[in-house]
Amino acid sequence: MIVVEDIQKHFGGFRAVDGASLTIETGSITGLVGPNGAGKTTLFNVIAGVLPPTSGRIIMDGEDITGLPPHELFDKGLLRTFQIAHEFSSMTCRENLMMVPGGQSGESLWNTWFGRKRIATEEAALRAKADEVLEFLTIEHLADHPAGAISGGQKKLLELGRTMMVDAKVVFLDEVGAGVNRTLLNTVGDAILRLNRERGYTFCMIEHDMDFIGRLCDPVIVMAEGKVLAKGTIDEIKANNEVIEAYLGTGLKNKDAVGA
Amino acid sequence: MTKSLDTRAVMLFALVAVLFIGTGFVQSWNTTLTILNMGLISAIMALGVNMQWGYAGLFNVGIMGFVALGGLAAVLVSMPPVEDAWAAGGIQVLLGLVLGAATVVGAILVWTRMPAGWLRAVLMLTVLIGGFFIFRAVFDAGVAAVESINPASTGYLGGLGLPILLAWPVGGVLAAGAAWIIGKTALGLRSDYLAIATLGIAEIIIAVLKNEDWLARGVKNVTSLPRPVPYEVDLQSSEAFLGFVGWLGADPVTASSVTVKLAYAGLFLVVLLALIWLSEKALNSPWGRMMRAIRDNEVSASAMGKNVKARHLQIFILGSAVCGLAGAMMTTLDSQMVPGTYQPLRFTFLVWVMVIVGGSGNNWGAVLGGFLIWWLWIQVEPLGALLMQGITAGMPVDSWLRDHLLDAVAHMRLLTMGMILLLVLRFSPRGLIPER
Ligand SMILES: Nc1ncnc2c1ncn2[C@@H]1O[C@H](COP(=O)(O)OP(=O)(O)O)[C@@H](O)[C@H]1O
Ligand SMILES: [Mg+2]
Repeated sequence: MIVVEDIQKHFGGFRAVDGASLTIETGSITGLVGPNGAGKTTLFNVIAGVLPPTSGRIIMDGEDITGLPPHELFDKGLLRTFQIAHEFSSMTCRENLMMVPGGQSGESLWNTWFGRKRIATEEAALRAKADEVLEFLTIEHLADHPAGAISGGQKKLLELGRTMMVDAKVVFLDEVGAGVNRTLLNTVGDAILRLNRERGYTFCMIEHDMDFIGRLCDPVIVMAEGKVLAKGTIDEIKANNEVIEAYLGTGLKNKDAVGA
Repeated sequence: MTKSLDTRAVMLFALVAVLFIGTGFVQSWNTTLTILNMGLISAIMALGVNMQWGYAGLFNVGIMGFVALGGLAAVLVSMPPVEDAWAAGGIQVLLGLVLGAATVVGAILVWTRMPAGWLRAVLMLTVLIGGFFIFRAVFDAGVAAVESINPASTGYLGGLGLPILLAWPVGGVLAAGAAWIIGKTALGLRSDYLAIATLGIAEIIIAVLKNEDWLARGVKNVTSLPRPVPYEVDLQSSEAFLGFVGWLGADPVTASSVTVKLAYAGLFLVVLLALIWLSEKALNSPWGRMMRAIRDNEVSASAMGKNVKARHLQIFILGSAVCGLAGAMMTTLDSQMVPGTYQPLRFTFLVWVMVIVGGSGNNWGAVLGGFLIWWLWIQVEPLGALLMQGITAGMPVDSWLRDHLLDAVAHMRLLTMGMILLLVLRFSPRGLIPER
């Protein structure tokens, strides 16, 4: 369980996150929606240790993880994807996946010189696993392509794929579906549901597509102007007047297209 | 190992080999070997810088400092200790240094352990100022005593009197220590901080070497360092050698000099090959993959569990250690330590040219760059002189243009380096042997 306690994140005088508190229950797929500029990505960056909060605390399973660097959070099972894809562009898609698991014996220089056998065994297993993930995401044909040269949607899939290379506890997905076509979006949805059910991943996902959220997420949390506005099932959220107003403020009138 | 060595690379290495062999035929084999030996050392320096820049994107502009620390190691390991100097003030100098270090540690302890407030500031200043005066009192007296012992030939503490080959790893360790201090403070901050820190520390290291006579005689230089290979005169008086040379029909003086240079070349080659092997194994492994990921995207690598700062520190230390090792080898080859010869142009800029021209990120590229650029650095002057003599041959002796062109020879080196850098960046921006 992740508890976000009264997080403030200011950029100069601007309050990008302004006292957000929320809870992500273990085993849930929690949706995080809100108009552009609501502070969702900033909140993710604070939780993921990329930005230090101005104030507030993040608690993971009873432990204060505020301000821990991303690599330590990774070791605790907290992973994230990026709104703007952060692939390793000069490496192949397969390598992008194979690099993920921590504590590889081949990451020690000594072993690269004197432990080649062990590395070879590990690498074979990693490669098989990476290929499995690529196939699962229907991009196995890109295995040997440089990740910098694939489409934006495919990069999103690759980012999701990275979280599948290890046993994560909580995964934060920042608009993983943006730029992904309909067919692939269903694949992504299936992948998320399967990871949630079969491997017990907890998800917190920022998303704009209401159908997609409706299919996957319960509960859904709404943010606006740096604050948490509402929390509930998708139907409750869609019927919530405050939420509609927040979106109306951005000029969107159709409540089914909320956040598009 | 062969993975990154394609036909193009083999051709380029063949070309460089032709340059060296050609030098042997046109000038002399002695010249070839002289250039080759420094070429081997340059290749090692380029390997070290390539680790930092090519693998990790770390911008080290203080290569000179690490090379100089290697040179210092050669003196401290191989020269015999100066017993009189030790008796006069050796212990006092060491005690002074310990007190100086204790002052710094004490001040840091006060700063980190005490609650913030004016008391802490006052106490820290007291420790610093008081410590400084005690340090100077003890240290300065010791230094004066040491430096007064036979200043014309010693005037320093000397070294440990151990075999000079030991200085090579020690040079690496000294450079690694300096890199650790720099890395601990400057890594993880904005990347230009590392550039500024390395630049500054390198100058400080050279300043210390020039001014602290008790350490390595300062600008009075340390000469006649012991050698890991035989002396020419000993060879020339050795029956076995003379017999061998006679059988070959060679001139004993030239032969002895070539033999000594070949012996150095052999030692250097062993080190270079070992380093290439280690680097290639590391680069073509999960470690190399992790480093490439970090270089491609630090934020993402960190989100994928890699400790970016620790890895940067690791590679910065290793690359600097390799430069220190090369520095110790160079001082061994020269048999002398001359602080005045450490110029940023020669030891920082030139090594950078080697890495960029050769191909950063590729070990073979860096090695090629080391040999090629060093050969050019040496040969541009004679070649330029030859060229200018050819051009000016038909000109009247008092011609203004003739004088101007002949004068230009002296500036050919930098001009050529600049030209080559521009040409490579224009036509093969990733270097002659690019990273895959
Ligand atoms: N590094 C930054 N410096 C200044 N302002 C920022 C920074 N990052 C985000 N912001 C601002 O914070 C607000 C929230 O941004 P963001 O968290 O990306 O919103 P969302 O993801 O909900 O669309 C925006 O107005 C954005 O311009
Ligand atoms: Mg966003």
